[in-house]
Amino acid sequence: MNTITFTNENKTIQAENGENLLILMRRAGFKPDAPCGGNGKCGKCKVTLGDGSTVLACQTKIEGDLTITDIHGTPQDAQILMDASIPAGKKAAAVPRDNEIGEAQEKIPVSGPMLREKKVTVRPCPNGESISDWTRFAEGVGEPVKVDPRVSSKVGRMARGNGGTVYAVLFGNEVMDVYPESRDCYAAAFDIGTTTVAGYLLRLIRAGEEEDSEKTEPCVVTTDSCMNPQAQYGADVINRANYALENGMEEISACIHAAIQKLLDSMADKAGISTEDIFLISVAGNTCMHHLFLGIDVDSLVHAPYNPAVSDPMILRASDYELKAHEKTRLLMIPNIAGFVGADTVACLVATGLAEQEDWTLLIDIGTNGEMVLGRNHKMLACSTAAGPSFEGAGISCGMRGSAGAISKVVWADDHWECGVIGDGKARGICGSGLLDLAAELLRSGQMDEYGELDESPLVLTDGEHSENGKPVTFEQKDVRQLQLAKAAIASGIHLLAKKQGIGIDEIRTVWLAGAFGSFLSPESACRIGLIPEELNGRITAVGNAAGEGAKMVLTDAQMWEYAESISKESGFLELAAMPEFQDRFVDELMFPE
Amino acid sequence: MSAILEELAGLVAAGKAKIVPGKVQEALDAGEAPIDTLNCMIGAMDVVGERFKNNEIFVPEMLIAARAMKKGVEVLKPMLAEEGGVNAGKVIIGTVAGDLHDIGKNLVSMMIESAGFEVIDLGVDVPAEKFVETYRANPDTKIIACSALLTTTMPSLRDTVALINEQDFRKDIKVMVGGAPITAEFAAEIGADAYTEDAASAAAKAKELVA
Ligand code: B12
Ligand code: FES
Repeated sequence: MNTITFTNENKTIQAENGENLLILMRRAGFKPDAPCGGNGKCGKCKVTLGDGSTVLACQTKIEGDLTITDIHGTPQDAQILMDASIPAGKKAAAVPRDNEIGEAQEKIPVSGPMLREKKVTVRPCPNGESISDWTRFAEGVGEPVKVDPRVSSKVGRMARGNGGTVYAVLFGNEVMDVYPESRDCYAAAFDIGTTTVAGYLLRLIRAGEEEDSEKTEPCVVTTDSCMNPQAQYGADVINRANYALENGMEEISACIHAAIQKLLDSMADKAGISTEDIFLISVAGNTCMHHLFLGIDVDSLVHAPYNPAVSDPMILRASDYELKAHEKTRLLMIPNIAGFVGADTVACLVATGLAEQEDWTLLIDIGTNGEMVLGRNHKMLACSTAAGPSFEGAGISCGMRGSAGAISKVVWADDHWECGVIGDGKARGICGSGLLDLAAELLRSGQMDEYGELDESPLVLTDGEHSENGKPVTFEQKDVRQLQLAKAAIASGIHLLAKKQGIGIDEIRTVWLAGAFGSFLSPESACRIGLIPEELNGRITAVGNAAGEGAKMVLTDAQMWEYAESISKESGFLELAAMPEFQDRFVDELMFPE
Repeated sequence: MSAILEELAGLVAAGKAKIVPGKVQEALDAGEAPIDTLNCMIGAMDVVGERFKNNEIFVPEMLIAARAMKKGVEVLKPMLAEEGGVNAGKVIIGTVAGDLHDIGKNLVSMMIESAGFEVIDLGVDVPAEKFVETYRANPDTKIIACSALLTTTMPSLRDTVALINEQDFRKDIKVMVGGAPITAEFAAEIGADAYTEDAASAAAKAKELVA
């Protein structure tokens, strides 16, 4: 046994010979930054040892006692976008169901609210008859409900002590619980992103609502968010999946369950309610987040042909996934479309009503995976473009996520750079929206040609004197190359989707940008550098966290839940990797527009 | 180098695919030996590769230059064949099973070709056995090169190299591996002979390996 000492953190742990330092650090409860998943490629897991040398933790095997004086990185914070701003217009319409829900599936209401409260009069049992409490309760409900031992055990006594009245909370034909009084009933929606997790607490039913003539609409009571704790196992979905394949699902699943529970608790706390009043939980996330959350094997997801293990919508029991809310809380898993087009995209489609648009509309979630959908009138085609994490600052020399200290806006003022910094403090690095502005300005001012060659490299955006940590914020030739790869991937996706839908780029009337990056970037810069085709300049609107919005919508209205399913089945999927013309397009798009 | 060859080198580097064949012919007509003309273009591609490595140019320029080179080589081919060729040897290349990324591999393939090798490109999603079978059909192969771009196809790369390493012909060939997630350590661990970070160094390494 060797003793490993972390001096800064004041912690020592024991380790066997041959143990990997990065794994050890996770075991010690640190959350080391390991974007490349321990491949030795990203350099972010650097630590300083007692002798002053620095090593990559992921490449270090324990061979004796070791002192670590500095753990350099912890996963960076990111700005988390909670709000959505969906343009008004045609929204999702009811879709007639053609197929009956299979036996095994839970019956949910065909229309109307997902969760209902019903005031139920339980008639007393006439003397001489022996009609069960449940039967008389069910009569009072007035619609077929599934018999439930837990409810039947308390409903008789509750009714007798309450003048024959109970309030039943119903989810489809399921009685979630009965109460002596009408009460507020809640649900929680989660958008589990690869980087961030957003949670929303919704009040679906207001106490006394049934007596009121006016019905109160469901509303968001509070929200909360956190970084996805799985980040310590790798920045992108492939590295996460790889970790699960190599080390089993347990750890990586458990850590997201714990994060969700924490958000449930904190939101309940903020709202001053008990988590037992939360009856429904919906989850939107990309296919990998979806699978990892459910503990479903990700093998098929990360090897060609990259199909999900399951795409269907699922209604499960939250308690089976280590979530503590009400004992019977249901977990609504929004369906996926394909391996890399997941429930988050479906949720965006639900929220925006893209399928209902009469003009060609493009929805893009610009991120590591760059999912996009092009469609109109229920003719939808989706693809995923693997842009890589450059827009999140990874792989860019002074890159960082869009959080405090990041240069997010850049203007070339004839002889110097003017930089807008998030939080208005000093600059520490540059984030995605800053990169787009910078490239656009470099092109405009002729300091970079269409091949991406810089006149000067590195160029200094903010010098050491004015930066946060005394180090200048710079931009180099190799950063342009990363940007070119990422932008070419997205742009090629857009072009090939249009081609497959048989339309010209100009026929796309509207572009909706979903997600945090899409909300902060300048559409003009995006078009100037050809990330989005220049023809579409002026047609771009940010829709905010549409995935979160969709996750909320499926909780409130049964039609929306069904709509999510039909949309996910309707949407086609285009596998770019299988298109021989991808490479030519990609290489063309690597260049900047003149 | 003669003025005309210098000019040719410039045209290749600039990717003038339309003009290069004519210029090659011009050089030959002016009495340049086919082999010298070829070496001139190889030299030009070396410079291109070096600039790529230093980030001065990028994928499009490199592809354009490689295309121009290819056009020039087509003119030379019949003559070189007569002279017995300058074939540095055969290289089998492919992206490993489960992986469909091929842009990087194509660049490597072009650069290796530009360095005078004959390349058999097996494409993407290549099963390990296919590399072995292709060798059996081409026993004069000098190098097998495998590309992997996904963390999750690194095991597939490992299996591929393992299978090659089991073969009786292993001592007669060199195995090169590469791709964004691959490191020199990983290459050594799985028993490959060489890893390089980019296409230009891959070509240089290939030459070194067969020297
Ligand atoms: C273009 C691209 C695609 C294209 C591929 C098209 C094609 N025909 O190749 C498309 C869009 C289809 C695609 C799909 C996918 N991709 Co992709 N893709 C990229 C992207 C943007 C660029 C890759 C590239 O071409 N680079 C340019 C070339 C020139 O560089 P290179 O490949 O590294 O090659 C150089 C060296 O590595 C070396 N080299 C390469 N091979 C060899 C071999 C030898 C022997 C040697 C010596 C050297 C060598 O030399 C080359 C030239 O210098 C990267 C992200 C990025 N920004 O890098 C993601 C990326 C590689 N893809 C990724 C993923 C996850 C996928 C998908 C699984 C997911 C998805 N969203 O659909 C699918 C799977 C495809 C499949 N079935 O295999 C991830 C991998 C993550 C990881 N941790 O493994 C990346 C890193 C993006 C990300 N972070 O999410 N992708
Ligand atoms: S280099 Fe160690 S985690 Fe990336």
